[in-house]
Amino acid sequence: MMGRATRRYLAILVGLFLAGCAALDVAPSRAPEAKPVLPPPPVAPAPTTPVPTPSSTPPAHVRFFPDFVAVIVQPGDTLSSLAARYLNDPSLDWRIAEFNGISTLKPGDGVVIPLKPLDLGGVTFRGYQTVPVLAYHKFSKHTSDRMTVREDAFEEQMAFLKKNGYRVIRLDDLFEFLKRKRPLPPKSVVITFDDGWRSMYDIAYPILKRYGYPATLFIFTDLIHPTSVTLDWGKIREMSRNGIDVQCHSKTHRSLGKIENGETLQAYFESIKSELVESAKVIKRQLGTDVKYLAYPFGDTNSLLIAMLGKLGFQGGLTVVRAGNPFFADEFRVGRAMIYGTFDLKTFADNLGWINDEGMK
Amino acid sequence: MSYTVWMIGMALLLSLSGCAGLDRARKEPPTPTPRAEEAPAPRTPLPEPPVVVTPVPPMQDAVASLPKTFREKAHSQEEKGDLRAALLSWRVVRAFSPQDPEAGGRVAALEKEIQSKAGGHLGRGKERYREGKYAEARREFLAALAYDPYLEEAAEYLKRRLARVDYQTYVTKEGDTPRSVAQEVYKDSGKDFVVSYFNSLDAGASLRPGTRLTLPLLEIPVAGGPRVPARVNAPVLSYGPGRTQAPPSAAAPPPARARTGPAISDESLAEGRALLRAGEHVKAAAFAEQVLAKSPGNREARELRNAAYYQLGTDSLRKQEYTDALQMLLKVDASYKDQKKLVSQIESRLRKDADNHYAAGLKRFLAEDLEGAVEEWETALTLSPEHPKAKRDLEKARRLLEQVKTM
Repeated sequence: MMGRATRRYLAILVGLFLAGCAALDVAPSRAPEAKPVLPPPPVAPAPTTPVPTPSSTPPAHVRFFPDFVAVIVQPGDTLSSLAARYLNDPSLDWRIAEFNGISTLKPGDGVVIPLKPLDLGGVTFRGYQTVPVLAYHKFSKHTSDRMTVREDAFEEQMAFLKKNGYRVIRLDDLFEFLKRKRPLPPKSVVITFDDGWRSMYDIAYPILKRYGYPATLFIFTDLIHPTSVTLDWGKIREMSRNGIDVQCHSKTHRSLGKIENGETLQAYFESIKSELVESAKVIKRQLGTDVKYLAYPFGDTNSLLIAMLGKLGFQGGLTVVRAGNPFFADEFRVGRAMIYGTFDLKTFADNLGWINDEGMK
Repeated sequence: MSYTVWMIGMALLLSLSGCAGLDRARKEPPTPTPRAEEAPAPRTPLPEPPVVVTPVPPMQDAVASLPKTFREKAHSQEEKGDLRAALLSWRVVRAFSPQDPEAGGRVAALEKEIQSKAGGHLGRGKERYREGKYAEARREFLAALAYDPYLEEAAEYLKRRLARVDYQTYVTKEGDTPRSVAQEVYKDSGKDFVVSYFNSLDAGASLRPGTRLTLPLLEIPVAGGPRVPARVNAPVLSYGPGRTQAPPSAAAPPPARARTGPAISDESLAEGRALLRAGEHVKAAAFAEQVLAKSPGNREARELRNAAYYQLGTDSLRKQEYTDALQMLLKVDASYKDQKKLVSQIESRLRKDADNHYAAGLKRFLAEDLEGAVEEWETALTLSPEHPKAKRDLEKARRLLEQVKTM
């Protein structure tokens, strides 16, 4: 074991040896999306400071470096306001927290904001990051069964996420992570709903709104009618304007991944193509959005279906395989955990694993 | 400067965070501020809380202490072996004081160490991958990324090469049409519409030789049949020009008598048992699978599943369909009846067949028929995925083929 003094001495020798070497440059050139050296113009109004600064030079509490910005926290600054100002995205607050080993800011703190992601896949020696995706179907005020979650249970689950530091992210964010374009904060989780039941709007949606959680709703378009148990387009439009991403769950909810007995390959092929094309068309007509993801009815998929999704421009498919998703998960076999109405809070929590050390030891 | 006076007092407030660093943040993520937590969606930002007006110390004071903070952090991260975090901390120190010999030296040394360790794991990963040891390869690639998260080659192996295979490629030869390709790849010229659709070809088109076509595998389970096992961690096979290789038929479609699955409304297993008694083993297995998907701990369903797959396995065994038999019996718990014995018998039988194909491949190899050899050895590996010689020689032959192609 080397003493610190010895090691420092060695370090100095190495430093002298390498002095003048051009390869010592700070920036690793491999970063796929290098942030601009200068921060983008603020997206949020900068907090007023008592320091009168000439507009051509940066304020005295900020110093820019090629890879990072050093900032003295001003009154009113928060992790997300700094993330908004210097990283152009308030949801990147966790990156500042992680790098500085802090969870909140105090005016006067010195904080270093790395301008580009330090990591893309969430792989450490302790394990690799996985992102759970939760799947819900129906809700009820007073009763529950496997596919129906009671209102108080859903409320309790959402509160559990908040209390335990989970970050509910958008499905789009997960796919950026899978494409190695975006690191995700620890304890990221995605919430999804299948089919298009009215109780999702009546019970789950208000709770989501209250928590500010984004979510994705996968509808099979034949179900959508103005009845007491199903969603209608008016309600879907309202939700899609308020943070609910609407995606495809086929037209009729036939299994797209399995061929019926007696069905020819050609008939099957045409059927799944029209299931996808027709439902995407209806969603486009009703909401004006292009669908990107399919939640496989019954979770069934196969290579032909995946090839067809690719051909039709889909970017991913979601199964009901109860597994979290590392960055190297297959975009067309994203795992999802069905949350049943029969689950207690402990069983719910068992589905929230976000770090996997299997095969790392 | 006018703000100096109040700032002197406030300099006392200056308190930089400790040396927790990246390490602790990963393990025990900080509790985000309530506001940050409530507004993860950038679309609907919640209002900012009232601004607390507190004077702030001058830049020089707080910033001047940053190098010290990060130097301490760097030391503790190095002690913990978290090289990546330490490198970042040293970079902060060096940016503040470019002349600092320690920072400069540590940055260079850590960069070098990280590069060499990550590179070592990557190299070993590729070796393991070539040997077909996918679990070990995966571990090496993960270790490489733990050192260097931007090592794209390791990421690419994990993400693409160690992933499930959904496509095969076919390189056209003189006179190929969608029909002839379908015949060759899918053993059915009537599947030409699949070839045409995925490669945007006209039905009657004749194809320029040397065109690389991408074709999905066609392993489509029948509704109500037993689940097709996931074929994970399979390498992407490369195929020579003008020929193709059907994937190992690990996921053969279930027998044609399979019909749409029974509707499961509760956990009652009476219907499943009735199916089993009626000889509807596929349906019974599917029934059990569906129950187990909902309640994995259901022992009776497990028993039903064992009985059904055992029947299917022994049926295939009687018909001498060894791969199918093995596939079914492997779904049966090892403790069930004579599952262990049957599995080992089938495996040794398959190994013998594999040996025969291996020998045939060797003959062809010696006769300088590389493609023939590859075909035999691939068959050998299909029958016995761990056949050591076939794996080694197949790799060799493929490399030779590759060289011949590029000559």
